[in-house]
Amino acid sequence: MTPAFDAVIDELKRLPGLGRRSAERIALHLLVEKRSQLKSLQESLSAAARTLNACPICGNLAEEGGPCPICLDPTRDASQICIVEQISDLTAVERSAAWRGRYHVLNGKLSPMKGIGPAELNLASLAKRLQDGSISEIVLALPNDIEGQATCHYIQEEIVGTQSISLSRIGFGLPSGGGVTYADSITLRSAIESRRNYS
Amino acid sequence: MEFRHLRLQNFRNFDFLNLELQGTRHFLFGANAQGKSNCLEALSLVTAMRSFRVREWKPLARSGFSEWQLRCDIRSRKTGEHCLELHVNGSRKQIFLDGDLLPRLGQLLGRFPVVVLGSEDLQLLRGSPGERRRWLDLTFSLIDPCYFEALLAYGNGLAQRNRLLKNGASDREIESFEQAMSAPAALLVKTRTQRTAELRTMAEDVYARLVDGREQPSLTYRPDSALDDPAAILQKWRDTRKGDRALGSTRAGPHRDDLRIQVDNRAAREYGSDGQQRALVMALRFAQSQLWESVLNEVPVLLVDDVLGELDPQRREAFWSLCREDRQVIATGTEQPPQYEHWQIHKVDNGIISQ
Repeated sequence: MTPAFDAVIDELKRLPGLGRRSAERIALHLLVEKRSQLKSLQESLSAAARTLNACPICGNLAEEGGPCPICLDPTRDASQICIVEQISDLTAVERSAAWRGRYHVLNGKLSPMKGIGPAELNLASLAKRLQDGSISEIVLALPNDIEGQATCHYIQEEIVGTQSISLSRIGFGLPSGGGVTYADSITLRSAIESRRNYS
Repeated sequence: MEFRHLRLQNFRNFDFLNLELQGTRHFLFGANAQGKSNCLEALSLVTAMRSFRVREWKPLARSGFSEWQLRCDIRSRKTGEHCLELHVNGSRKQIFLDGDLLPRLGQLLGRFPVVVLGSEDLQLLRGSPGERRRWLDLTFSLIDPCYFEALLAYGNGLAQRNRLLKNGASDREIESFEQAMSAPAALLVKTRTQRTAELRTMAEDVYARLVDGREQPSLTYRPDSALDDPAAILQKWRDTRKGDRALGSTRAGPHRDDLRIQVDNRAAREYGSDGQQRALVMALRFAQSQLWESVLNEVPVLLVDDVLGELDPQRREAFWSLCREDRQVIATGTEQPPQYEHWQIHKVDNGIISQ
């Protein structure tokens, strides 16, 4: 198109989940069709970039250099931590309203092939949280793949170690409301392996 | 299952191909390098998106093109009529089944079983253990989604462990990946042990028919680790870790397994005659077909690439006795087959097929 427009497309394409077509659509929307939205988007992005930070306790999104709203919330059980891979996982668990404890966001999972080792994960602050003995339960809500499992094992052995903390992993099975007939074999196997007593 | 129609665009030496495949007996004949095997290669992709001739996909595109397409109309015994399309552009592949994009290869496995009997099959016997492992993996992945999933997980874990070994990572980090790999590794060993026993019975039966019961073949799965228990595999990796670090790779595990193939208790690879080896490979292919049929309740299509002409009368008779009338057979050869009245003949000439 034009050099300036192409530069915008190139920048947008670098964002996760955006291909060339989506990038073009967004660029045309902001620069041609709804130009009025451009200014408010610019302002909100600038403001967020100025004020947002990673929560020094759990790694969630926070503002003005302080802890995140969940870590500040006195109604949340501070002795329980749910460990997630990324912030979007935290928001998914929050939407479920099933967890009333706090969180810890790792910002990734172990993956030597991608150059991600323990030093690249938010593990040091997790170890620090466990030091004073106030944590009694940890739930690992990490993906059910090799990297997720390896990360769980690393946390169990290296971070939790011999401390008396209840450690569990979320179950993997049928989606709620899903029938057995239409579930794929892998999900069914996982569901059967993680079955529990019914009495 | 049965192929009904094949369309190709910019595949190998085909500019455009539109081939009707109604009926169960098709013979493609023509001189060498005209496109007969290319046609079978395209048909074989529907099983697992794997070529029986090359590992890389680049050679599948017509010279000078990076984009090619395949479209197959297929009739399944279980699920009726289907249209499978493959769109390839460079390294990007998209599979469509009845117009819907299939995001995962695993969703295709087990739907359209095709067995290939080819002139390069002897590599299964004479080649490296890796050739036999790949054959076992394809055979079992098609009928067991959990096996396929374990294979992917183990392959990923192995690559990660090897990278850690090369990088001089801590024992704790390496052990974390060993823990994660151990369950898929055990599942692979267990499934291979059980399923190879089934294959063995089937292969022995086919071989007896091919050679008139004079010789006794045997098929034995040889796990490198001989372990189908995650704890035992973990201990093995722990024991070998120091040496693995020095080499930068994992020396023990299901990725080192082999399939031992013997005739009368002697290794067929070293002691088998050319005829014995060809009969054995054919027995393995038919055993694969029988195993798939028994689990999937679908008769696999048989693609026979330039093999029928090499069979002596006894083996040819045995071959046909193994092909029921409802099994679709698509064969190639440089000359018209003697019993050509049973075949629908297609002439292949420089990328053009005519009846």
